[in-house]
Amino acid sequence: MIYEKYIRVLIINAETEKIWIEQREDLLPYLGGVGVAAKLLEEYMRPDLSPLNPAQPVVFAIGALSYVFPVMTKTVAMFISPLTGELGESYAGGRLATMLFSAGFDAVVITGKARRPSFFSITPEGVSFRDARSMWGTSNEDNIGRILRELEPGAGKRSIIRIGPAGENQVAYASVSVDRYRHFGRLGLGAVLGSKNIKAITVSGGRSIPIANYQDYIKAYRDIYTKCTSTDMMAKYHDVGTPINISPLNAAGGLPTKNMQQNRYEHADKVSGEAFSEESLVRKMACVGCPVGCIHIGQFRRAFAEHGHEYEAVAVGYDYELIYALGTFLCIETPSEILELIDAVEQTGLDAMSTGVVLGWATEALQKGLITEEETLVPLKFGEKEPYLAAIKNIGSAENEFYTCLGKGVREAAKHYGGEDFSMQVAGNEMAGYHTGYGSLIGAAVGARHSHLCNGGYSVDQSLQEFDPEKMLDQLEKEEVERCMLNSLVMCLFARKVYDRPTVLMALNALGWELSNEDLDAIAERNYATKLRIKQALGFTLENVRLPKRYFETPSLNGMIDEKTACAMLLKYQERVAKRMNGETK
Amino acid sequence: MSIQVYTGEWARRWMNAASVEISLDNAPLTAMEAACRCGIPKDEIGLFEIGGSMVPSAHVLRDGETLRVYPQIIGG
Repeated sequence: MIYEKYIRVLIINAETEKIWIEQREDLLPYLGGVGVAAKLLEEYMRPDLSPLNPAQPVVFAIGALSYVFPVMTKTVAMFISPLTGELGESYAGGRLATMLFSAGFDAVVITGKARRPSFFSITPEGVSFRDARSMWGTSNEDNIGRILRELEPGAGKRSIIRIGPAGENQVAYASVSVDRYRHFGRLGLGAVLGSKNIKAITVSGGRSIPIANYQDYIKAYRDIYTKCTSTDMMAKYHDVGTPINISPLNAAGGLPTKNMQQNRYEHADKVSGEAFSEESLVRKMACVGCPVGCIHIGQFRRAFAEHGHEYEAVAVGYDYELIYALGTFLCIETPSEILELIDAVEQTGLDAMSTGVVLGWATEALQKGLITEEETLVPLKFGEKEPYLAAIKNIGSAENEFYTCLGKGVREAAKHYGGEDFSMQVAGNEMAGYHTGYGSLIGAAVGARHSHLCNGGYSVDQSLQEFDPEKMLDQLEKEEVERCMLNSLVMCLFARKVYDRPTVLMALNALGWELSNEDLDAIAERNYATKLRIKQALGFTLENVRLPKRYFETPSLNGMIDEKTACAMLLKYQERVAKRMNGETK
Repeated sequence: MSIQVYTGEWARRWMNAASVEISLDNAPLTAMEAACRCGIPKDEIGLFEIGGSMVPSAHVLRDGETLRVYPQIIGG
C-alpha cells in the first residue's frame, strides 16, 4: 500500500479455488483497515442470506501505517456476525498484519465454501488450497499449530490463523486463534470460517519496500518509538497490564461479579492483576512491530496421568477481560483455576468473554430452576471450576440441544429457556467487563459492533463529573467516529494517546500521504457512514434493542442506572444515526 | 497534621514504597494533589478511596485519613 495509488485486494473463491487480484484506486478515500474492509464487506455481503451462508464474505485488511510504524500491529476482520446477525468487526495482533504486508496484500476477501475442510496458504505468488480433513475434528489445537508449521514454508516469516472445534461446529461466538496468544475473539468469525470449511489460513512473504523519504520517516519513527518506550504512556500495559483494572473496578463497584448479581467480588484481591503477576506470570511478549510487550503469559500446572506425579506446565495468555469473564463473573477464586478455564476456551476455540457470560447465565438459570442438569449435564455452580471445564467442551461440541442453543449466544439461550432479565448482553453481544455507568452500557448499545472498544464508554464513565445524557452521547459519538479513522491505520488502541492527530499526520506524511486534519475527519466520517449503512442493510435499529433488567438492578461504578433514561438515550442516538443517514450531519 | 497515601505495587515506578506519609501543613490538600505530590503523573491516577468509600478527586483531606489511590481503568 505504501507509495501505491491503490489498495491491493486479493479475492479468494473458496469453492472454485480461484483467486484474482484487484488494484482498487476507488478504495483510497477509505485509507485502509476498517474503512477498506467495511467498503468491501458492503460490496460483497448478502443481506438476504443468513450470516453463515457460504456466500457471505470475510474481509481481512491492514492499514496505511501497518508494519512500518510502532504499534501498527493489527489486522481487522469484517463479516456478518452469526452472534448478533449484523456487523461483525474484530481485530487481532500477532504476525498477521506484518505477513499480509510482506505478501503484498492490503486486503483479502473470501467468499464461498471449500468443497472439503481446507486450509489456505497465502504467499506473494498467490494462494494454495490444501486438504485439512486430517485436522478437522481433532481435539488438541496445539498439535494443529505444529502440523501447519511443519507443512508450510516461511518459518520465521509466517502467520497462522486457525479455528478450533467450536468454529468447525459453527458456534456463534467461535473465535480464531492468531499465532498463539492472539485472537479474532468476538462476534463469531470462527463460525464464519467454519461455515466455509476453512480450518486455517497461513500467510507468508518477503516483500521489502525501500523508504522514499528516509529522513522524515526515521524522525517520525524515533519520535513515536520514544513515546512508546521512554515515557509513561505505555508502561502500564507492559507492567501489570490490563489486569490492573480488577482492583480499581472492585473498589469503585464496577466489577461484574456472579453473573452481575454483584458489582464487587469478595475475592478480588486473590485474582487481581498484582496477584496474577506474583503467582502466575512467567513471560511477556509482543506482537510483531510493537515495543511494548503487553501480552502477559501465565502458567498453571496440570496433571496428565491418572497415576503417579505426572504434571505439565501450561502457558496461557491472560488479560483483564478474561479474568473478569472466566473469573469474577463465575466467582472463580484463584489465578491458576482461571488460567485453566482460559486454556479450555483456547483449546475449544471460543471467545472467552462470551463463554464466561453464557456460563454465568446458565449457572443462574440452573439455580433458579429454568433449566436442569438434564440439560447442563454437569452441576454448574458459581466458584466450581470442574463443571465449567466440562461445559466449555460441551459448548464447543454442541453436545446436546441445550448446548447447541447455548452456542447461539446468551440472548438466544435466554429467549428459549427464560432468564432474559439476567442474560448479560447488549444487542446480542455478551457484555464486556465494565459496569461503570451509562457510558459503558449505552456505549455498547450504540457502538457499531456493540463493544466497549467502539467508543470507550467505560472511560467516559471514569472521568464523569456530572451526568448529562446529551453530552455523553456527544462524547461517545465523537470517540466512535475518531476510532473509525484510527482503525483504518490499523493500530493497537492501547496506543491511541501516542497517536494523537499531529502524530498520525506526521507518520502518514512521512510515507507520502499528503493528508490534513480535515482529510482525517472526512475519512473518519466516511468509514463510520459505511458501517452505519451495513447495519441498516442488515436490519439493525436501536429501537429494537432490549437491555436486560439486571443492568438497572445492580449498582454501577457511578450508581444506579435508570432504565427510562437509558432507553431514552438509545432513541436519541438512533435519531442522530437517522440524521447522518439522511445527510443532515456531515 | 498528616495523611497516609497508599497505592500498592502499580505506582512503584514513581514511589519507592507502597505508601507514604504526607504532611498537610496549613493549606488544604485535595486527594488528587496528594497523589501528585507522591510523584505519580496525573494521567496515571484514576480513583480515590478513603475508609472504604470512593471520594472525588477534589475531596479535601483531613488529618489522619488514609487515602488509597487507584490507577486509571485501562483498555482499548
